[in-house]
Amino acid sequence: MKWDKDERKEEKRMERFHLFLAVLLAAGFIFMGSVGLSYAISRSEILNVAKYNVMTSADPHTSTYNDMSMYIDGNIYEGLVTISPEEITKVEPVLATSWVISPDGLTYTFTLRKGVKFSDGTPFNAEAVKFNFERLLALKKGGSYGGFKVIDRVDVLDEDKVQIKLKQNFPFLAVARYSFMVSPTAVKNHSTAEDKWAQNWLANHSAGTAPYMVQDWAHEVNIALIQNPHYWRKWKANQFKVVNIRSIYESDVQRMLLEKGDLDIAMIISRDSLPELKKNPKIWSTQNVSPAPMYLLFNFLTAPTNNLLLRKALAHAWDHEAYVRARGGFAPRADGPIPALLLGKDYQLKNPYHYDLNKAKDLLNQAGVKPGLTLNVLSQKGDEQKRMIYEVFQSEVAKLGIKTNYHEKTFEGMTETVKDRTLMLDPVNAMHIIVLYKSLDVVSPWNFLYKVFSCETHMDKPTGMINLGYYCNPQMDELTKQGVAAVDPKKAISLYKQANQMIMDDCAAIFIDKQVEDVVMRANVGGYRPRVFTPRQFYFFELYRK
Amino acid sequence: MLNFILKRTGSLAFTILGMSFLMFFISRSLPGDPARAAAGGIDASQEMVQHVIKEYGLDKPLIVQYFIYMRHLLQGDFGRSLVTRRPIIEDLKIFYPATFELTLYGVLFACVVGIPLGIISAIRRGKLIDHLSRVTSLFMVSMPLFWLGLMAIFIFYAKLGLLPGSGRLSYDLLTTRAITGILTLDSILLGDFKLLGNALYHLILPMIILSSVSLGIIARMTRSCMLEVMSENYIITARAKGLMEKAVIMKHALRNAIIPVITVVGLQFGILMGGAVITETVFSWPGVGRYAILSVDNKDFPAIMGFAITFSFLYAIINLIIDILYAFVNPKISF
Repeated sequence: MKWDKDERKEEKRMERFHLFLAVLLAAGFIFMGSVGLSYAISRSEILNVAKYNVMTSADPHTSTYNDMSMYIDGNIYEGLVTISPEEITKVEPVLATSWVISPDGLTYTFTLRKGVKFSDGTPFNAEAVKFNFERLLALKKGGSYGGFKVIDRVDVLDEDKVQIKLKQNFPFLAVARYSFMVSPTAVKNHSTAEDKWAQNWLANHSAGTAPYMVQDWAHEVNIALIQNPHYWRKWKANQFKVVNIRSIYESDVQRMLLEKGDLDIAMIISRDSLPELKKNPKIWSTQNVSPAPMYLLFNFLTAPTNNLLLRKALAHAWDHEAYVRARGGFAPRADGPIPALLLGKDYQLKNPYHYDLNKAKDLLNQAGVKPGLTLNVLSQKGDEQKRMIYEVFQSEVAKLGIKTNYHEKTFEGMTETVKDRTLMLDPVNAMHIIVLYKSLDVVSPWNFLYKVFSCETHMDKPTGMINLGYYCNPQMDELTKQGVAAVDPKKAISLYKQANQMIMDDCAAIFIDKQVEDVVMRANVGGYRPRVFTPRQFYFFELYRK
Repeated sequence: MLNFILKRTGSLAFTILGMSFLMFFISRSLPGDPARAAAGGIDASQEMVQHVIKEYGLDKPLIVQYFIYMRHLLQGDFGRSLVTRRPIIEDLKIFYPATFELTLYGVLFACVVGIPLGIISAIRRGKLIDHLSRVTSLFMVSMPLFWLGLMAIFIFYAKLGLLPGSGRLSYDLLTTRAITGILTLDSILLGDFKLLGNALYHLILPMIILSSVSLGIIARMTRSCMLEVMSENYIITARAKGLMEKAVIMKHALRNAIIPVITVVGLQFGILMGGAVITETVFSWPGVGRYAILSVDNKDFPAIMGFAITFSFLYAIINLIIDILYAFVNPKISF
């Protein structure tokens, strides 16, 4: 019948169509497989680095310390000085070749490096330095502003000399590491009526003097850096022409990419993976120790942690050996309130609070602590290391009959909680112990003594910083001030040592450990030099393909 | 139909308004201080935090902040991210297309594989193919996406070297200036077939992983609907008339069975759009799921609002399209 024939024709048409689709699909797969990789330059000239967190901005005057230390510093922008990789207390020249500090410590005169240009060809000079400090102080943002707000004025003495006057004594050279210089021409060319300082443009582009510049920024995908054609140092043949900073969120994926060779440097590798990776001859790894300490800060506002005997008892209950085992066998003990290296190579502060539960019990009895005491511990959400510290701590204090409650919040949530003085005064509901990691972002004892332990930096004050425990010792503050004001480094160190001892005697915190960072990269990448102050930082100019 | 579309668009405006009000006040009631993150994080002084609070108007009463926000929103201004300081609209333009593309291909894959699988399972009910289909669907629905994704990368990238392990494109391909941000579409519009191939190549694994749950659901849904429809009288009549089995299945049974499946597909699209964050994390896919999670984590209010409002709008549009599709699939349905 006719409709039967039509059905059969339709069927044959469909079969031919399906066959065509199948051939097209097969061709598509073959085609796709063949276009996997195509390099404009050779793979050996490209460095692929993984990052796992959000890079907020390439603007050095508004970005966080995290961004600055991981990607910006020394790679996209340079400051007047930097910290020596080998000696943490030594400041090295970068854009400034020398400097003179006035006897009162309030005036710094920098002689600038000649012949330096920004990546857009603009010459670097004293006017550019003045412009940059004006921009930084006008924006009032970013990790570096806190250090530079002490600047009173910046004067141009001549083309290669600039003078910076401070309002008060301050460890300015330690902060000058973050005095990143942006091309004034670039700022002026990209400023608008609403955005006078070109923040929007500089968030995704660069105009610095450093070896690399931002060529392309695909958010949460890749930041492509290329060599700065105007860089003042000479390039060698085997240095990288392109650096890709790739967003890879998962540590297992980073590991697989590293093993396959699609990644050269991995930023997060779980500790469990390390033994296996170390067996691979194509992978090289090392462990860097930053002296930056982890603290268990005590709340000084309220009972029971405002009692010195109780604090000492809790300090004697910290079992560092158990913590080392939990951390996989390596967790060097923190030096104290200040990293010891900042006070001299051979300096060591004796920590009298060794693990001794009997002593802890005695001290608790002397303090008149009744059984059934409960302490609230506040820590940062999602931080495994801090969780581990709490687990070790709570298991030991439980042997003393002390219960603990763990409160986990984002850092912003933590600061909001601690800022509430009424809460922190409440003996029952206050956060009695706060877990805090203090980075070595500013390489100076001031960074710790002032920000974490000064009476002026209580969280509820306008000058508040991260004194989350409300510790306050006016004598310690006075020693810190004198240390900052002292132009003679030996005198400054002597004063800082006294302040350091005072905090230890007051048992302001339990000093847990230093930061251990695992650096894992392909074995054919050479030139890596660890920095004590930022153990996971890479200076791409130093790296090369072996 | 036009009236129907106009009515739905009108009600959409009220939905967005209500949702924006709820989201605004809920997000601001979460504990934490977003100004600190914007001011420079852990080492930001109180002075710097206060400066950011003033800059973003966070010191004003909440209701005033809401009206200011809505006034800007009506002008197309979603505000600026507290974390990245970029305009939210710029962020969304980057992240939405990535998620949309992944979700679209994921849903397409789930339909292309799931619907035929469901049909075959219904036709061959009780046979081996039916059992295999059931086990596969159960496996795909049960396995955590995170594990599936990592295993897929481990097998197809690390061991076999067949497919890429992360991202939307090979990193040696410099990023193309986007037109829509949907790379496969942009490459066609630009006539860059190398880019098209590379984008499709990178889509294979994440698309399959993302579609795994939907595929199972669509396959089972199709099977159930087909079985129900195939026992109807008009199907018996069609067979009695002597029509070929293929015509009975594809022209008569499927057309009626597909309507509930279309509803499920529409719902799955919305669910995958909002829930793609795990796939995006494993495959380093720069999508809006991750953006939303980071916004909530950092209490980035403008970003949270931007995401919530645009997602609600998109979800409503998808449902509208699904409703319109009914009329094409079954001409008996009218509005």
